[in-house]
Amino acid sequence: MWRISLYSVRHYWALFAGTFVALALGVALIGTSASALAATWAVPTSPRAGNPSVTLTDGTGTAHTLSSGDLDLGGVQSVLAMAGVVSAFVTVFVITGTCAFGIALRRRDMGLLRMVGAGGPQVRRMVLGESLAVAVPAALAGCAAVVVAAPVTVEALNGTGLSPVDLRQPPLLWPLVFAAAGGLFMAVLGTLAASRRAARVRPTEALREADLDARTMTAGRAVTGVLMLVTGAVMLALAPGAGAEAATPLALFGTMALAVAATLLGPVYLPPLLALMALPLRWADPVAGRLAAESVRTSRRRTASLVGPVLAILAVVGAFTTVLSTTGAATEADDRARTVAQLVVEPARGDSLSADDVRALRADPRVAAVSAPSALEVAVAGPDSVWKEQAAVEDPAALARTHRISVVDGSLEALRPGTVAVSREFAEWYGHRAGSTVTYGLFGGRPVKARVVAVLDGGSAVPPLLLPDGARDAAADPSRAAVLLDEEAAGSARAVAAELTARVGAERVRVVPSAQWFGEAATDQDRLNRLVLGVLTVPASLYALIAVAGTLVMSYSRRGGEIAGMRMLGVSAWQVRRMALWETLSTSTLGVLIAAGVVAMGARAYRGALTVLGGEAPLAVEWGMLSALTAACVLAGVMVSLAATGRLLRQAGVMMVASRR
Amino acid sequence: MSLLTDIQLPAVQLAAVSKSYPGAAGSVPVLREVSLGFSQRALTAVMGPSGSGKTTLLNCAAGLDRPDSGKVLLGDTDLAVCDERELTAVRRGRIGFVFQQFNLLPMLTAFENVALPLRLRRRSVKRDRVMEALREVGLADKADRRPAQLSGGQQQRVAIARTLVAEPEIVFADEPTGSLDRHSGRQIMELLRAVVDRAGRTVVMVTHDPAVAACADRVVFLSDGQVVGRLDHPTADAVARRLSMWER
Repeated sequence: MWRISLYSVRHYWALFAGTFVALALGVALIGTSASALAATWAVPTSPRAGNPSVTLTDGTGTAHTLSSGDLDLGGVQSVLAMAGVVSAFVTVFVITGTCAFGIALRRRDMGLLRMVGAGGPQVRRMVLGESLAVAVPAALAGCAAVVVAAPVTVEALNGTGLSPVDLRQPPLLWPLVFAAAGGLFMAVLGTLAASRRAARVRPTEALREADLDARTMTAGRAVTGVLMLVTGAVMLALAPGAGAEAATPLALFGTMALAVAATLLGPVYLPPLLALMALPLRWADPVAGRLAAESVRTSRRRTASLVGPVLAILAVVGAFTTVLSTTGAATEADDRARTVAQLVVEPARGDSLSADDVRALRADPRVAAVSAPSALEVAVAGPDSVWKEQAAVEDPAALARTHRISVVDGSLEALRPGTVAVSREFAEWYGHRAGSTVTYGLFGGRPVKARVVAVLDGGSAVPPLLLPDGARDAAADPSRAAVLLDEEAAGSARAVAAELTARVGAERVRVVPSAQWFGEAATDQDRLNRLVLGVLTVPASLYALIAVAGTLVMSYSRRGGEIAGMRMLGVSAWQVRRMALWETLSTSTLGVLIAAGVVAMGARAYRGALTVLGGEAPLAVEWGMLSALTAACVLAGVMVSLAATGRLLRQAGVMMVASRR
Repeated sequence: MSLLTDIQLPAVQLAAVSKSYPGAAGSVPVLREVSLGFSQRALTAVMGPSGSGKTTLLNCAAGLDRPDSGKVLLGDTDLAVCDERELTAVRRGRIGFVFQQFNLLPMLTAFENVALPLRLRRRSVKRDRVMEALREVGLADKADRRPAQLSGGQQQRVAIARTLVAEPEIVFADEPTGSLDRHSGRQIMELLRAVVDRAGRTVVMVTHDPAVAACADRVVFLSDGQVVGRLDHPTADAVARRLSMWER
């Protein structure tokens, strides 16, 4: 059957072109992510030997030693891993779709094979053989692309600052092996369902005159679709009550599950929706519009395959970007709402304010309060593990004056040695309350058993642990200070800012009103967020275009007879083109609308899980990026369908409609 | 012409075969208790008006469709109770098909289409044997062409060459000349005759055309799902007379 597979790939190259490109791109992206990941692994995580360390004993009596200064590559690693996972998901999705469509277009061939005596397993082997015949060269092409792209990617990654140290290109062998093997695996995975379907084609299908679309909704498809629908609905229903941490995966995977369900169940609900969309078309363009409306309504499989990729890509990208930017927007809104201090003081040079600077600020008569937390990392012991946690040295009372902080448990008082204040999130996660004991250790120090005197609810203004003054030596100097002015001075914050700058020295500090500072900080954060979004979504968007274009090329490869027939009946070339245009526009629009609905449900659930002081979390949508992606999908679809129609129209002159293929 | 004698065994024997298809207003009977044998080493034509059940009869006899009741005996195998695996084996080794259209896999050359049954049986493909079959149907020079590069009659002949290579016990042909001009149609009928007379196989053919039916050893007339008549050693005139009789 291997020989037949090869013949078939050569003959129906248009049906396999989409799979080839999707797979090559998938292998290239996975290989590039893997090589960048390997580069982060190659960085020694403890660059300086002899860093201060601390040994803590967890609840089970096991001692753990942690050192300070370990490089944290977790962030960049998780972004890279996520990019790889998104690529793999979309690759399998696209390949499954194109394979299923390819089989549907070749049912007669499968029937003929069965008629001549091919057994189900033989047909199955032929389909798997085809997929390997495409996958092997595609994997090689992808690997070649990795060799070129990997060094560039590592360079680019160093340029973004996502990684705390400069990465160096590791040997490519293992990333390539991994990506190629993954590509072959994905190809087989994507073809399995299609090959089962092909093996079930009955011999009598060879005698069918038309490629009938009668049974697009199979039992397996319905069951999987309903299962996905229920899974997605349950996840999104749980998300609002799950807390910000757990809501992220719930909202993301819930949205993805809904998108898969929407694709699988497409044949059920797409025809009535399309009929509805066709009403204005029939009115606006009686001939071409009517033809397009009938064509998308009757060719249910083709329509489902065209709506599928647009829907899947927009849903995945929409969900990721909306969750990321909504998180950022909610944190910022919460910060703004919690900040009472009118001024923010930053060092003019370097990274930190000195103790003198802070003292000088406090000395000004118009200043009511200054909070300048000195951040540090500590090790914390739990019941069965020891981990690093962010902490800060600051007087909770000062913090509570410059920020709106509520005391959930205990009382606001200056921290004495042997006491700590903890954030509400930390307390809830690890089960602490006022009076309970936290065991922590400063690096280079000894374990400290401290009593929790207060549990504070202050969003990002309150670090997980607030330590007493004794730890200040181990902490870095504060990176900024929040200044609360007394009532009379508050009216002229800008004037006071100028005077404070003069008083401490313009070469040492920069004093800006809080609102202005938030504006600047937000731009920085946005730039970083957009970078992460780009890493995650640009590859996925490339897929959208390939999948849309591939499906269209496939479907037009089988429409020669149809278009020749229309021409013979007197439909003008211009009308055929308009029909193609209407078809593509209506199917893409439908895909966009359904994706928007799915993403809106996910975003609504996620937003419900976020808390912002004194209001609702804002919903941030990357309109620019999403509309660019939508436009690209629609544009690619329109261009490919017009090009394909043009080709068929040129052939239609010489082609007979009759029996010959 | 081969002689029909009563001692010849039927290659395929249908016994009280009934088949109905689900329609808008309940199930529509297409075959009603048809009992019929197709003699060995003979060419039998099945005729009848549209909707009389010709194609369904052919499909049931070939094991492509399962009858609702009755038996379909190919030798001593009852095709009506075979499972899909057994039917595949039967199609692979014992039955050949020639249709009006869509006979060949479009991605394979004429040569590969003819060699396909051998490959499916995992036999070694002997080039000479395949070329010999193509030569017999007059297409040795077109072995490397794909179906799209062949005329309808040439495609039909490739399908016949395929049955010559596969050496099935019985060949089923559904309107084999239906979409061909008169000259190509005659070529096809000569080849099908040769399959019976020279290769000693059994051919069962559905047709509309009395002139084509006249090439058969026996014509079976079907009307409304029942066998309504037989004609041995037919002539085109005799066939046309019978048909006009039933059509009145």
